[in-house]
Amino acid sequence: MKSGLVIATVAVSVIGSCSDAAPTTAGERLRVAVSFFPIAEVVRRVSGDAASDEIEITTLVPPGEEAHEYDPTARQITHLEDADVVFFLGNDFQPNIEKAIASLPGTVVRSDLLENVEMLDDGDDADTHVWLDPMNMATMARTAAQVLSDAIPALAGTFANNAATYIRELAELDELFAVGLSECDSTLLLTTHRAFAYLADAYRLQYSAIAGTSPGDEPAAKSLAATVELAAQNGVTTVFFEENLPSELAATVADEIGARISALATAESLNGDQIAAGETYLSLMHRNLEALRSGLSCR
Amino acid sequence: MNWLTEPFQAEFMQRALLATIIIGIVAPVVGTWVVLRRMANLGDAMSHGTLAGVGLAYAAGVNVLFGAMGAGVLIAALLLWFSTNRRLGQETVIAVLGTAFFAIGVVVISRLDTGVALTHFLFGRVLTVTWGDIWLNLALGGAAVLVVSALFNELRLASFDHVQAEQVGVHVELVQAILVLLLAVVVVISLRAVGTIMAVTMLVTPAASARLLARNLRQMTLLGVVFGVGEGVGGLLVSYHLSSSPGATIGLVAAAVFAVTFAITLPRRMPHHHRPFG
Repeated sequence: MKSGLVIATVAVSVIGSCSDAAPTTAGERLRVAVSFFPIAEVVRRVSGDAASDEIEITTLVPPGEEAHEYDPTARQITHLEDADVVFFLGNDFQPNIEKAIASLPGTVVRSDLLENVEMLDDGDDADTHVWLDPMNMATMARTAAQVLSDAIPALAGTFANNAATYIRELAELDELFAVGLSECDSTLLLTTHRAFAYLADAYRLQYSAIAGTSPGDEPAAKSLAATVELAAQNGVTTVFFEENLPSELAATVADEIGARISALATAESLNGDQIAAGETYLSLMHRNLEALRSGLSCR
Repeated sequence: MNWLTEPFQAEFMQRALLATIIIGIVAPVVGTWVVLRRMANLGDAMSHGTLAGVGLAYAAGVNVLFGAMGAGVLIAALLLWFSTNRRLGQETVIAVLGTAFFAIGVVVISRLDTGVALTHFLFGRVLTVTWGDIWLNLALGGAAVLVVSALFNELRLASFDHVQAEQVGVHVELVQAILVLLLAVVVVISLRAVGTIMAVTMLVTPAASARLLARNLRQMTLLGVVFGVGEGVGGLLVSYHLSSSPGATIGLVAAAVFAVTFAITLPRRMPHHHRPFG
């Protein structure tokens, strides 16, 4: 059923983008392509109401698809070549999409939203989920507003206002996290894959992951045993796994130390159900905060 | 002895050990017949084809082992049906079915509304095997071993002497069908532990090594089990100490045992020697 829904959604969006190719409004609409969900949310919020009249936004990674390994289809690459602006995250987060973007003609404005984002020095297998720190989302919103203003100078004021509103909401979220996670019995955040380093860093949690950064990663037996020991020493009572991914690894560790498991959203992709429910980055992060507060026994 | 006991302190490693031992026993018992009847390519097709059931079961939120079993049974049934067409050789039908079911699996998994990747199923995850998986494997594997021992004579006749088999009333085709089902059982048991790809290794390689050494069928079966369990446990231990992928390491240990067996039995297989049997 679920996959049927996705196929239907994808089909509709493909048909939609075909008819969009011929501009219907008086002026040419600005064609903006974004790589995946958090970037789409930033760009949508910054463009605001202008999105429907002046800007056409297309997201490359379809609902529910895994974002890291996503390979753009031939049709999407053709669409990219016609785009005016492309927003993405560089630094090898989505190698296939980055390759496609690198091969675009020089007329396409390319904006890597990692620009101005402070990266963690995280070694070889670095976490790239920068957007899980709300203040990084704010930085990205500022960059997006700048790039969109350069493209449509007449709307610069609107973009600046929209960005300011969004950044205020992000700052409130940041404050909620900072307060909500300031007094917890457990300060070790343990998740299945290494996706929450930015979140942990922002709110001064110790962070450890059972496996590497890629959702396909599986730990070696020895390192799994070491993780179990670390979790036991730190009195971990909840092992977190990424929503939409299998929970077995988290369950295996939780089982060894008598802990429970709980889901956290990486907010890198929404599935069909979440889109239908009107979920946003902010709503996912609010749920993450609740899950963290309960799992880490915060007051 | 620390290197031997240390890995199995944690319960997840004890479960991994049990899962590996079950495969080590069941796979060669069935694999003996797969090797003797030259059905290894069917094992390969079956292991890939079960991915269709795995994908559909995952999408439906059902234990993937049930899905794999369902796909295995369906492949077996279709194989029997298509094989009645004399214009197509069985190996052709096997290739068509195996790849078709594999394709279904890939499409379903890639369209799943989650971030689950194909690799989860192709390479297995022995470290996250649950007690539920082990009980299911024990039941399926126990049944498979019982069926093989109960039908040992029928299997032997159907494999080596069609004429006599028909004379004493053994249904050669029924035996073949049962064997195909047993093959599906082995793939299902291997799925979580070593993955669909390495399932073929456990099915074929220990039995092939045993074939080189054994003098009769019972010996071959028993030796196959000794190799299967030894390679499984050995591979798991090596993978713990080397921090390598358990499924692939087990496959490498099995291949190494085969290579050594092949080398030491070279003189014996010189032309003036008689082949042990078969």
